[in-house]
Amino acid sequence: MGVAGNMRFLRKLLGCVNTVTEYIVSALLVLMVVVVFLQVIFRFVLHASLPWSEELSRYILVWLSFLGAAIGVRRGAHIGVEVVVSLFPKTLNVAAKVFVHTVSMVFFSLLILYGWRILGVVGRQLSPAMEWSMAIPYSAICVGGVLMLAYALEHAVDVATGKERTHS
Amino acid sequence: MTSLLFCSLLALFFLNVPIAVSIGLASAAALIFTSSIPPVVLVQKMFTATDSFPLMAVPFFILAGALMESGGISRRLVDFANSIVGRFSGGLAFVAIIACIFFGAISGSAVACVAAIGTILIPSMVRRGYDAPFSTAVQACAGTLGVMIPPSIPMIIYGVMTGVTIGGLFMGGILPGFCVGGSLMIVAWIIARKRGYKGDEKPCAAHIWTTFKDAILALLMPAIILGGIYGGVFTPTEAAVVAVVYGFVIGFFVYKELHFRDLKEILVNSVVGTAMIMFIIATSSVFSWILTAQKIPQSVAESILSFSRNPVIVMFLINVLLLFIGTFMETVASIIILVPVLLPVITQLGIDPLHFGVLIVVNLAVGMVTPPLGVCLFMGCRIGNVSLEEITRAAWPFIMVMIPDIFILAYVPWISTVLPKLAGLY
Repeated sequence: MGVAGNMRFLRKLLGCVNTVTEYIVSALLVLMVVVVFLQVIFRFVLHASLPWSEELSRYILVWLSFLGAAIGVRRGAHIGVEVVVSLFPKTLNVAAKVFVHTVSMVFFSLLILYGWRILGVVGRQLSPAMEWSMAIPYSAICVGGVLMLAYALEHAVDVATGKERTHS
Repeated sequence: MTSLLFCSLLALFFLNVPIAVSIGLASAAALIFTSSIPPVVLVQKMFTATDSFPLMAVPFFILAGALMESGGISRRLVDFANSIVGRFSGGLAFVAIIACIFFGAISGSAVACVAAIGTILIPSMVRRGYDAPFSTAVQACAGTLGVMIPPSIPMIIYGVMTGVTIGGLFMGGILPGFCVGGSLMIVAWIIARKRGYKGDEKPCAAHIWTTFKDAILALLMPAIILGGIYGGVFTPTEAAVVAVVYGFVIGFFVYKELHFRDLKEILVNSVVGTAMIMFIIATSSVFSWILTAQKIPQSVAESILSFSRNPVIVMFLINVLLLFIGTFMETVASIIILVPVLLPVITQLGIDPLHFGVLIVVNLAVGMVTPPLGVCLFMGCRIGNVSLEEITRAAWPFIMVMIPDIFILAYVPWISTVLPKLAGLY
């Protein structure tokens, strides 16, 4: 009961985290549109260039890529080749699914590990235009990795306990 | 090292590990186990791949397409296409193809095209007595026009990688898109005639004019994008952001079908769609970097050129290779991994890189409608509620005309280069 209760709590927590992430990426995408559109306006209407717009929008894109990839993991949206696995018998199919999520978790752990390690290197560097610490854009990899790992784990547990339907 | 890279990649692929993860993990394994390169390169290359201003055109075009679609544009495009070609036998199949050409002009993605037009047209075709697998297959194949008609996400990626002008590639895709669209229509017409699929009654001129007026604002978008890029006014990324603002204004204030409550979903879906592509770009870039560090492109170039230095033969081999790889590999990943390998061969033989870029996109588009990994087929199956086998069987006649199209395109560079040259920027 305690374990089941904890799982329920964790699931709910991940749901909340995902909702918050969705709001964050929505806001970031709007911000990216606004920043690049401002860049266009400034150049053509006001004949002045914004020194920071390109850099800021690029760093937003990095964050969007890794946070969006995490939401994609939760939705099971990343495409793969299903044909071979769909030929497997049912029990093997479950095993294959657990394997897929486990393998993904290994990769996401590597993202966290090296994503963390690289912060020590780039953390002291400053971005050319805005003079932000390069740790700000680079930490997207580590944060995205943590979310992806959590969501993949959730999927793996769901498949192993039979909560998630495997395709027949 | 290379063998570990490729064997682990294929094993992961066929066990249904997501493409991006397979490529990333194979690269990581090669870095960690078989090289002295610090494995932190993994995340460093992934960062630099996504930290790109030109690639920002990808989310912007995806968002512009999504805004336009929620704004009711797909239905208007379908109505307009129907008023032009609906009267012929198999008319709705023509509508599917023409509407995809139209939608391709506001979206850079084939899957988005199948989803947007297919949700409207596949049910209509089935209601009119068309065979469901046939209807779905027409729609899936027509969807591939989405990456040929500008804007095009794969072309943006090819341009970013090779330095070929993205505007030039966009312009170059127009005629090949029309050629492929035309040949799809011929096949659809033959099949429809044989099965006796009737067309609608001939609409009056006033009706055509009404539907045209309804669709024209959407059809103007590519003119703004290409005009802006060609006039030297915008970079492709800036053109794309203008397209977003344009799509928002049209959907919100002109068509008035876009609502604030839908906005969050449109935004999140666009981000996820973007991120899936960016994640593949990120991990493929690591893979591609390892290949380059291992001097694989040079050795592949040497072995191809030692086999033949005849451009006709090499072009043939490359296209067969691309068709084969396209069946099981995702398009963006194929471009990132294969272009650095093939480009040295192409340039040594004096083949135009712009021509090659258009060609590679059209070729890989066929891979979107061939199993085991055919993203357009998958989307079609979901909408049309048919099995992968049924749709694959129905798609064959269409694939069999797309393949000759590729070879015509390969040997007649004029088709892809004439418009960019006329426009004067290439």
